Amino acid sequence: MKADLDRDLVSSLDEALPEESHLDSGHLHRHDAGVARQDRRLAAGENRAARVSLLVYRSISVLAALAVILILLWGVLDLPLFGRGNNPVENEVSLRYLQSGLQEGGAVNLVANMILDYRAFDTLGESNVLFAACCTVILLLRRIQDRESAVSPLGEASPSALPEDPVLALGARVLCPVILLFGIYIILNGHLGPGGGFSGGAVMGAGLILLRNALGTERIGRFFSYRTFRRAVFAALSFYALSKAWSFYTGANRLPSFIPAGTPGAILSAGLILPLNIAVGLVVCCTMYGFFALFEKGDI
Amino acid sequence: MDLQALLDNRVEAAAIVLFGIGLTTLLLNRNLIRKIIGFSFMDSAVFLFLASEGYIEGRTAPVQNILSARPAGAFVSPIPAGLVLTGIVVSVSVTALMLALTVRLYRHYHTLNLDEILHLARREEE
Amino acid sequence: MPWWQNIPFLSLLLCLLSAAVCFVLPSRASRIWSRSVLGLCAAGAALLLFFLLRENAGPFTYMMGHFPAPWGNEIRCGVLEALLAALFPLIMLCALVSGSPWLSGAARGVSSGRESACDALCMLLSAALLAQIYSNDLFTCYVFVEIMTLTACALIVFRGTGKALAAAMRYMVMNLVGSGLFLLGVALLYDLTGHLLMEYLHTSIRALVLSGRHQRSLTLILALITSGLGIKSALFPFHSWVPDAYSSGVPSSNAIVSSLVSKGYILLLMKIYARVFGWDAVLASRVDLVLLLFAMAGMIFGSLAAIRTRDFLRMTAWSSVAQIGYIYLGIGLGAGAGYQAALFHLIVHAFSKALLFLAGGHLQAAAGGAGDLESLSGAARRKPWAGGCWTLAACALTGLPFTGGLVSKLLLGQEALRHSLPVAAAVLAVLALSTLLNVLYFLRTAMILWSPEKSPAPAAAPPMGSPPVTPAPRFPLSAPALGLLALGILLTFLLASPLLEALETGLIQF
Repeated sequence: MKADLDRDLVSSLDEALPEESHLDSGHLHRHDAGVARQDRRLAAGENRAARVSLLVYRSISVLAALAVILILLWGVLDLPLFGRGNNPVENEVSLRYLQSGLQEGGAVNLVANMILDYRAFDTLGESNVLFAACCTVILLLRRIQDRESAVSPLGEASPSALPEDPVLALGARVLCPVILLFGIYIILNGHLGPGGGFSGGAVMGAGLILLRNALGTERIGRFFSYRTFRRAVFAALSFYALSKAWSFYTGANRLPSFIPAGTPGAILSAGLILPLNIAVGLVVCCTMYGFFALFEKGDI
Repeated sequence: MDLQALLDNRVEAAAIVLFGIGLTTLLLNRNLIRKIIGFSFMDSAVFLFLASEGYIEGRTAPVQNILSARPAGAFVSPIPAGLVLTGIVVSVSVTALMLALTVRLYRHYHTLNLDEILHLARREEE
Repeated sequence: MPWWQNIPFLSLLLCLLSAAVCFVLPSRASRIWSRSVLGLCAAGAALLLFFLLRENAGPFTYMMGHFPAPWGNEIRCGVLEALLAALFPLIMLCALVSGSPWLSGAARGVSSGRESACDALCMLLSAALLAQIYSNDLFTCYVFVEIMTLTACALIVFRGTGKALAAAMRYMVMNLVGSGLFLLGVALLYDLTGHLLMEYLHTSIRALVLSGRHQRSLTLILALITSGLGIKSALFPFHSWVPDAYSSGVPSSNAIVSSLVSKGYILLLMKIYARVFGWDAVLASRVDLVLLLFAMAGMIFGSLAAIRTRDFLRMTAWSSVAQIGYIYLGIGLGAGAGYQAALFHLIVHAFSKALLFLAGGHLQAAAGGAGDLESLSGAARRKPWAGGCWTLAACALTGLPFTGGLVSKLLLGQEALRHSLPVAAAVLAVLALSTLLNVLYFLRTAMILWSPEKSPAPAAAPPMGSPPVTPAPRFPLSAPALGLLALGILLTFLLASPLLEALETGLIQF
């Protein structure tokens, strides 16, 4: 076992350097090495002691899970009953959201009123959670030396340069416009019905990912590079922060906010909710696509 | 334990059971991918819990009708929906981060077993 | 409403906005931008504190939007909040300008985009810290807790070495468990009360306690929230991730993660005890005793582990476990004076732990980047100012005179005497023992650091296999920043009585 680990260590140190130079052929090679080593370990590790310790480990896990569940159940069964109309959740807070949400927030979708108007600060934080994760994934996985616009020459022979699959290409050609359009519809319709920036952005992100898989990274890089990505995220987040700053400031100082409310039900209504939905949708779409691109190739 | 209470609060109870399974998987399973799955379990359990809090029999989703506005009593509370939405976004972000960490760790150590990784890391340090 | 009441909201939104701005700026501009925003936030909060004290005003709440409290979000600020909001960005600023930030300590594959992303993450972290200080809404706190978790993970992993990756993974696993427990606690609390704002939660909980209903759930919620935040702030039995996580980044990130991030969680826990449950409910569920026990065990165990380890940074990290124990000891001792002692030690520890890591980073650089204690021998003589700062911080954590550490230990001892005999005896004994252990390892390290050099400075070229060593980074602002932190430690002693007074006022308003 010890010798095995030593060998692992040597091989991992050997590969530590090429790892950062991103020769994509190295990718496959490393994978093979990993598989071979795993086989080795399986052969060596199939002894009794390992199996017994695994058994002990598993039974401890099961016991711990049972203990946690029982403790939690003990407290949870004391909660108000499920599905009744007189629960504490039904108090003046939700009553006002339901009763006067349409007049005060202006959106027909009362959830949109709540997350983008009444409790907008939470949602602002929430899009920044996404942004924080995105920055961290960039730190972890982004590999090229910041030649922003173009894909590096090595990158063109990337793992995704499979022979172009006609089914995928045709399917994407048919589906992508529909998916993207549907995503835009969900975003723009967020204050008029079920939908909104988060769900619509996720749909659009999925559409972009499909497009990337069908067209290849190079062609999608022409209109969606790392630079575009950064600018889009910046524009959306700063618009969000600034417009909410304005509305918090005017709200707390009891100033008029000058943002027209519009008639509920019209597409241009509900004050800031529509632009905010668009901003959120942009952030979510960019982040979803960015996650995929970073995982796939180490760059956007 | 009170069986009637268990039956009455069955959704919450199910959520709690899922939460416990997810929590122990996250803590005790040594495989990084399974840990991430455990985390997803745990978060989904909380979402189920939150959603069940807002549920009231016979009411619909809180989307008003423009033409004939309905009374507040027709809708479930919108707050749990908003909370679940926030939770989902957080969960997506954290999952992406964990997966990225796992990718880097696998590239470095060629294993997904956290025990082995820690062992190798300690050795590397010496 | 007087204009200065806008400051908390402005600094919060400014930090969030600058995160997005830093993300697009080139590295140099983003560095300047983020540092100046931090300075601005600290100055603004100082101004706020000045106005609060001068006008003798009570705490104020600030509507985040057009809707009043139970419907909209709100933030709340009193003397204590303003004080901490001035100190935290200040310490963060010192940590960023002083210790070889992203440039030198960073390993292979640094591109300028990484640096801007890191500055963006730092701005997000400071926004999250400010939100923990100001927010009056439990769910907002949860969202920003997650931001803190993610950004701290980025800081830990920044170096990109295998050790950092493994440390970050351990950190994430434990912190996700913590987040999950905390979130479940918040969800249960919402189910019981239907509120998320702290004042309203308090009213509902009070009514529940008086009526005697749902006691089991309340106890469970208290346990969930305490253990969730306890895991995240490295309370003793949940500290397993600490030594790796606090010692595997660059000095700046070690300083920020160890001295600020855990404080955000502790502050949130104190807020929840004080504003949501009320101290009576906490006493009734005996959580305070559990905290006392864990804190005392942590004080001893952390120090013992620090003595055992031979690694300079890990020793500093282990001492954090012990120091967090002191803070929790204060919380466990009770609402009034115990909280005061805990907050005082929180401030002292934030200053001195940041200084310890930053000065330690300079000492390590002077010794050629070595990690174990022996090879640091004589490092302080090569960089006397860094050595001096390190020694001062160590004195503060040991509790020697002329540092704030003495005051917090006295406060803790004094408060312990007001409790029943067994508690008082145990606390005093543990305090004495832990001080003794602190002296042991800090004195040993200081002696090694200041020992006369046996050999001339190590050869310029490090051994082949070791990671690339910091190429003697030059940071013109690093000495003033360390000086500022050192001054902070001295001031907590010299100005102890006005500080304590401010804390007392702040706690009455808390």
